[in-house]
Amino acid sequence: MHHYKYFFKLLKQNRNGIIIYGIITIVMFIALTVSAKDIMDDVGISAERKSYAVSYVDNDNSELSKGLAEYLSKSNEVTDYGDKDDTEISNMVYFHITDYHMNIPDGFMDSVEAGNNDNLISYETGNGNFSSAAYDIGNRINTFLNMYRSYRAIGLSVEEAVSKTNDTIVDESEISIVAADNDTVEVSAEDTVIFNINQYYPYLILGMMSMGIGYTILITNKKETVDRCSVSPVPPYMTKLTNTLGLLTSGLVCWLLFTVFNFVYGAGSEIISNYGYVILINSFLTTMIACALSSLLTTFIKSASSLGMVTNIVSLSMAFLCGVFVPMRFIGENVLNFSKFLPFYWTILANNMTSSVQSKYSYDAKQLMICFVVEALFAVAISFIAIILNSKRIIKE
Amino acid sequence: MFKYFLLDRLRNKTAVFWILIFPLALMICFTVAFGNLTSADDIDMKQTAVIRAGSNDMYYESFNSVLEELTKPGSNRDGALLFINEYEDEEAVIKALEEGDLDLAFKVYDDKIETLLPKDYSITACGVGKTIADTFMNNSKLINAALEVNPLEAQKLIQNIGESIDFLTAKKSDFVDESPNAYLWYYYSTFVMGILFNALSGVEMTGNIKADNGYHAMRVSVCSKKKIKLILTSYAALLTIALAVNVFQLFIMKTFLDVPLGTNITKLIAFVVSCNVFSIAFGTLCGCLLKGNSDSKCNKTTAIIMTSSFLSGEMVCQLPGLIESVCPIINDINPATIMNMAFFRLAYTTSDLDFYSNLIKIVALAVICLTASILLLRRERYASL
Repeated sequence: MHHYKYFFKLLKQNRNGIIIYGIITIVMFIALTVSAKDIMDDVGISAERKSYAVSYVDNDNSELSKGLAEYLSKSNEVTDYGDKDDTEISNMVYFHITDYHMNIPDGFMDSVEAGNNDNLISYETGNGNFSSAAYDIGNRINTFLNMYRSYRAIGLSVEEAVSKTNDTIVDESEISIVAADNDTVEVSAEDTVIFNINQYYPYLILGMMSMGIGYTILITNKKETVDRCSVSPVPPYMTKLTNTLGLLTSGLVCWLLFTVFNFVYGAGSEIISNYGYVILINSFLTTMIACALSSLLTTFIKSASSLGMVTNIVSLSMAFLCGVFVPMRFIGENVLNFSKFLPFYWTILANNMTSSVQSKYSYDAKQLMICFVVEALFAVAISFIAIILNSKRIIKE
Repeated sequence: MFKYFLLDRLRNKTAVFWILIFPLALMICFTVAFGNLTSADDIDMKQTAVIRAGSNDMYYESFNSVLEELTKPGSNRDGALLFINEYEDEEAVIKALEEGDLDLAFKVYDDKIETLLPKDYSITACGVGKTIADTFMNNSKLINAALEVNPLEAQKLIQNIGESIDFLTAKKSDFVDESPNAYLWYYYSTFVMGILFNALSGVEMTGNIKADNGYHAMRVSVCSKKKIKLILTSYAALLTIALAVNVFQLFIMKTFLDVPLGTNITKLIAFVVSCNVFSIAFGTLCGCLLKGNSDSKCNKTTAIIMTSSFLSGEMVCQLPGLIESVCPIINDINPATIMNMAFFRLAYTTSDLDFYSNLIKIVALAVICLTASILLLRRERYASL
């Protein structure tokens, strides 16, 4: 008991790592809460189309360019940036104040009339020119202009063609999502936050266990501490045992806090109502894996800086390969086949089943059970390796 | 003395990890994770079905003939775009959607098309369905209008209805080619973050000069050389390593990760040099002002860098815009925002004035930080030595 208490005393003295990972978790939660709506739009959870902030500079000032701006303003927030200079516009684009900025060149209508692309509309979007805004707004602009050309081709005047295009163009055909009576297709902001925070949980808990709690184990592994203990009436295995117990206790506390957060914040969410038990078991097994990995890493790493390096490499590479940061459905088959040998793959696969609307992975009880079993086996196997290495170390010492 | 500081720094494995290995490891992770995103967008054949909900024969038949075209090989890059399944009635189609047997279905009314999707629909299925429905409805309206206004031209229109002109071009950029990778910005911001991590070298540099930071620093501080010479030589050594690391990273990015770096080498060099000058100077100031030993100062500086990166939109890209509308001064003084913005201007805008004005801002901040650190360091005396 004395050793066990000493572990937590040391933990209290070296709490920087825990504070840092605590802050990262809180920041991630705030970021997820703030951007929940955007995440829903980006992954296509909502079948409703997103309205974009579109800006333009009209150098043509023709019937067609005005008609185009009018058409875009029907379903977007359109602003005329004619009074702003290039630097101001560049700032607006960089800061995402405008999602899509277009510059309509002088003589644009004449080019469209002639059917050539001498004077094209140049556009820019924040963080590069390939985004959902670039695709969506670009598609609308081209549809509008091609339709205008068709109306002109059948003999309508410029004014008539613009007006007719604006009246008849369809870009919002109805979309319905079909689900069985007991299934839901609605995803709330809480669902998005709960799903994503559970997606990030493996990365966070491994960092917390390894760099937060593992640092304390490193201190007890120091030669001076080991020498001091070896001359005391404490069996050699006791330090290792208390380290393991301390690590497990800390892991359980983290898991409990996370569970309380899940069930309090997501009280009304569909994920917690329908799959609360999956979240509970999955996060518990993930915590055990993180504890086992942390125990393994601290067995052969001697310094805090090396622990930081190895933990970052292990956690980030697993996070990218197993679908923590990038949805699993976007990762290539070969990469996923390799990821099956990593524990977080099964954690993420189980979490994906809690929200098929968000992950596009359907719930499968048999597959879920396999995930849990494999996670448990990983925890046991890694712990076993850590125990063997620790035993060898004790013998050596 | 330069060689001494150079070797001292190179032997620090932790520093080498954070400024060299960590950014490259992240970039490799991006390549592995994002490598399949483009192919994930490839459209494979979609299982579909049609439900008749109206009595307009012509509308229904026309729509079916459009779908028929899309079932032919060659309608998609890898073959046919659609496979049309036959079902007895609407109920059977709905059941097939619920059970995941169909990717999408179309419900044809008298003058509109509704797209039906299963609960776990894919974004491509949604896009394909919506595009087919929108295009058909638009063309149908267009043909009706043409038949009313000019039946002669209508025939010609029907023949050419599939022709479409692209009236858009992405703003010309030195970095981005015609088919930019949507995830390039992750590489660029990681590169910038790596440069910002050089601040840790600056912190450790002060740790090696401030005698209250250990025996190593004590030895340096009692040497006969002038303090300002010590500081500037150490600074030059750090800058040399940082620049060498950046050149290596840029080489890896360009050669192995296929990240475009533009053709304007002068601008790129100006950016890399000025940002490194700033980040090391920023680190030296942190090392002078923050309390504690070298490790503690490094941790605190890491926290500052992380906060700075977070506020610059590293995690939530809307954040700088939000700050700009509420308190723009934060963006004006945040190192990560200034550096990211300079890189954005280097990559995506052509105005030299904008780019160099940002660089001047960075260099001015570097001069302020370095001058302040020199003033603080050279005046320190240790009575106990």
